[in-house]
Amino acid sequence: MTGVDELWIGIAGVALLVALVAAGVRVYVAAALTGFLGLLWLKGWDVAAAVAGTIPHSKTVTYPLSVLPLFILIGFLAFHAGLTAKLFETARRWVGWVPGGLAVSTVFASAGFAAVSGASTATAAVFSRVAIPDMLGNGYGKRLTAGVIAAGGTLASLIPPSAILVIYAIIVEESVGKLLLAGLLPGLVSVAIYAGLIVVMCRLRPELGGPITGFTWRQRFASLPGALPIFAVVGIIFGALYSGAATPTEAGALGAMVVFGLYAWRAFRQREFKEMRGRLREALMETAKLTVMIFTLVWGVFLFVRFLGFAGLPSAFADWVVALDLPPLLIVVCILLAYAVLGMFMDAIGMLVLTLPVVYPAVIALGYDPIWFGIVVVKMAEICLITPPIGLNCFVVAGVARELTDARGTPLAIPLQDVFRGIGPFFIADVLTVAVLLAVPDIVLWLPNTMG
Amino acid sequence: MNDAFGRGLAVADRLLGSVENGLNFAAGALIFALMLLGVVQIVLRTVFSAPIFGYIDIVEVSMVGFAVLSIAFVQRVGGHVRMELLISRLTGRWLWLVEAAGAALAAFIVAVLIPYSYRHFERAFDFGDSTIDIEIATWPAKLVVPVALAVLLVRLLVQLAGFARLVARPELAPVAVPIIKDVAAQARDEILLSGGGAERRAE
Repeated sequence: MTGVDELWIGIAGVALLVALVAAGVRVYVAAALTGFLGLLWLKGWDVAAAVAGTIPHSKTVTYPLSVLPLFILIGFLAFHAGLTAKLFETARRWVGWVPGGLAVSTVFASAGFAAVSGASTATAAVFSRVAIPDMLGNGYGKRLTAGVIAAGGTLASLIPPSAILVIYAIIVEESVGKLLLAGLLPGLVSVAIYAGLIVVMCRLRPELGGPITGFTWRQRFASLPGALPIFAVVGIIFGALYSGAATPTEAGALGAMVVFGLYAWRAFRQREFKEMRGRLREALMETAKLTVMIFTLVWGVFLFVRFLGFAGLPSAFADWVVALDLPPLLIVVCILLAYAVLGMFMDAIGMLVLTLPVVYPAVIALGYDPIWFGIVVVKMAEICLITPPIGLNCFVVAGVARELTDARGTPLAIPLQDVFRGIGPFFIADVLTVAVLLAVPDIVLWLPNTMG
Repeated sequence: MNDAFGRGLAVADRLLGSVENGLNFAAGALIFALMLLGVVQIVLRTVFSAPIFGYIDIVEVSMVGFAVLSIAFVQRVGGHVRMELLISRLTGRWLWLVEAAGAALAAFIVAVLIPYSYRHFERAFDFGDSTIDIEIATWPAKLVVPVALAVLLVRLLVQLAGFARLVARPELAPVAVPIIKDVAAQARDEILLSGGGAERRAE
């Protein structure tokens, strides 16, 4: 039995953590410090010291976490493998004929690239370079152009390989493979809703952007080989996860190898070995940096979680939430809204690792599925990447556009406020997607459940 | 103006920086090796039905290399996640004071973690703890944790000194401390990372 006193120590710990994080202390420091002090108070020096000495090692060297650096590496290598321009061209030839065809192509190409990249902001940066000149050159409005690219980037976090879904799986101790699979259909639903929205908008107001026509079937099929590597990586990762023939780590390794091979082939053909060495080194340095950042967060937060567990706070919070005389759906919607607000001020990964230890048991106690909640929460966190005040994706699009010019040297700059206005419809589309996932949980759960 | 302290800090920053760069590169190389190992494992298992014996053990033992080795590097470049909403509103002495307090707290908890993670290593060493399948000794991996944390502690002390210098004399140019980047600057970093932009990344 957890005593009331212990619970109050837990609450004091949460308050201290919130205060430290708000004051700008690094999250891993705030969590480790609060966790250690809390353990000290509750269990004394010996237990606190033993836990603090063990966790940074024991919580990070677990096999399921080893997939993370590989997924991150795939993303960094993918930028250099020359996939984006070809992917965009393929999408353009196949779906360009619909109203707003180039915007729809951007959505499909972003989704394709998302299948080799788990990084939202970087995907937006890459497609800014490919799609902005083409879209503005074909008379598309600046707002629609910027909006679709910034929103398209967010697809990367749901469509596997997704780093943030792996982190969710580790924190709540769920199957990494199932979560990754679960992200696919919601990602495709997002794509469909984005594309549908663009078609309707451009149908009603043709001046926003017209169709791109005139491609023959021969040209369409000729563009497919360029997109083939993407299908190969998707096939490898999905085939491996779904059939269980390989672990996520092995699938990640093979996926990274394919992308690396593509990059090496490209460097070989263009005789760019010197550049390749520098870029590979940089990609590895950045991968290592992002990896250790995530691992550090994980052990810092696990120290805090151990303290919360001793204080009995998560179970007490879950009991309290269940005892509330409110429909579970309403509570979950309130939690999601709280995430939307929090996400305006904090990085998505930091936000999830800090809040899940308390929020997750409560959501599960309400009878919701762990996998389903993971997907919905990650989608929420991604919405924050396109909403003010931070909206990093929007800054990225405006930042790339500033440096672009068309063939005659005219600048293609898109002011930041136009990017934020352009995002409006896609924000509504995202809210709609979350509503669909709330209404039809099977979209999330069907695929992982067929895995058995 | 005499700023010998600042010059000394800059030297310490550079020396420590090269150690951190080396560790970070080692971590990156290890990730590349993990990729190669995974591919070899798949090929051996599916083509020759002869998987690498103890593959999971090897991965778990080597993971510590990218899990903690470059923790100080990330601290130097200000890469560890935090919420900058309030702190980014501060300027001058107040900003440096809050930053110094944050660095002091970090140094405190890391200093606490070092001896206890060392003890974790010591136990493994004394009892001859090893992995399940192929019985690799676990102590070298466990030793990496206090070592990496020790480098982090030195980095935090350098940053603490850097912030303290700025608290005393806010008019000086910052040395050996990470500077808060606004969203536009973060966006610039992302753009450069994805292979664009002519300017070199400044870190």
